[in-house]
Amino acid sequence: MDAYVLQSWRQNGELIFDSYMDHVLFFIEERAVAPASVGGGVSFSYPEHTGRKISAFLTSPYQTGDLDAWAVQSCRVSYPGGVPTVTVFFDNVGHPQKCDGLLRVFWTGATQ
Amino acid sequence: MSSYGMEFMNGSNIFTIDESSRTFVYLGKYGPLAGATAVRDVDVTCVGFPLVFMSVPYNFTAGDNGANRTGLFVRRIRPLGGNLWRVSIGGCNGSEGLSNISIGTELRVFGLLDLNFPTGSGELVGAWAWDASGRLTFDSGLRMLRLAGNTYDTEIELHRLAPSLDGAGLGSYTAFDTSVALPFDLSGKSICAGGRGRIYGYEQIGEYYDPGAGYNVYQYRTWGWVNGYWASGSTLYARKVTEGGEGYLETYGTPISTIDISNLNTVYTRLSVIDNSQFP
Repeated sequence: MDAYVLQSWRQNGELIFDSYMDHVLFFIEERAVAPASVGGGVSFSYPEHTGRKISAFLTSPYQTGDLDAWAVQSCRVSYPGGVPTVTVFFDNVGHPQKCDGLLRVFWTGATQ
Repeated sequence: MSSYGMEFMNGSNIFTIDESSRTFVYLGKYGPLAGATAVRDVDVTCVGFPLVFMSVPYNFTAGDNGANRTGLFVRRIRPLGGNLWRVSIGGCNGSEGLSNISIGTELRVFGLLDLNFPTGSGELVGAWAWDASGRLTFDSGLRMLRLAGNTYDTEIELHRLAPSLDGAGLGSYTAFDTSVALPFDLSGKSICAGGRGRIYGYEQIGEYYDPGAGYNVYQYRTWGWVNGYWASGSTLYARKVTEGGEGYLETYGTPISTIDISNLNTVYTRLSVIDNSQFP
């Protein structure tokens, strides 16, 4: 029996949260990623979250791609040995202003 | 001591509240965005970098022509100062190129709860949690970020573009679509995913010898693509859609010896999906 549920309703009866049904993103880390060559990349591991499933997002404060300027982004998640690992590359060769990508990593509440 | 924590695990053994982890709160909706502008800027307010979800063009086929489809992507997010962020949406409207986007897409913005604690939320009896450093990590009276369905995270491959350098042709680029099958219909959903933005490629289309000038002229056609997202049924598509119009360039004496295509390789992005009805 599901005896450990938290639910919240507004006064008009609208259910706005149900702990049994929901999947949330829990914030782990936010960091800047310096540009690297396309095809290379950099990896970040989170051993303190071993066994957990994570999600990651790579964004840029500058527009991705422009004439003669490339800002290619890639972001992959893997679990070597059960350790959540994020591999990213962010290449902004040719951009008139060098910039960093922004990586944000979350725990999804689930196990691998 | 952290005496105000709680943990909840649902029937699928997934944590939905964790006493020591910060979660995101829904801050609001922007849009629907419309109008005849290729790139649309939306200024959003958020303390800390916002997490932005964009509604996906769903079965939007107006203006589509053969291989060309309407797609949108988040082009960039940059700070303007004072907790204001400018979100730029790029895209293409089928065969009409970038000149006419009138899709009613909406943005939904989430921020870290402890940085964006709203006032006046005492509307109901709720539950809160704080971590050991005193930061609010959960508030049951607010709309906290939660993802749609059981598929909460998928990786999308964004392939290199066609045509090939031998001019195999634009028609082959439909083979480079990326499709992601989800276990729910994408109507009324919004996505958070990265993109490859605009990409340009060259394609040699000819060469000839100019006897007057005394050198070879090498002819290239340039193509521009944007990597847009669109959906149909329960499938999300990441497709390169042409910007509309093509360029032409020539080199004299020597061809372009190395067309750097390393930037055109397959890249990956994560995908998360939310249900718009949960965040009105």
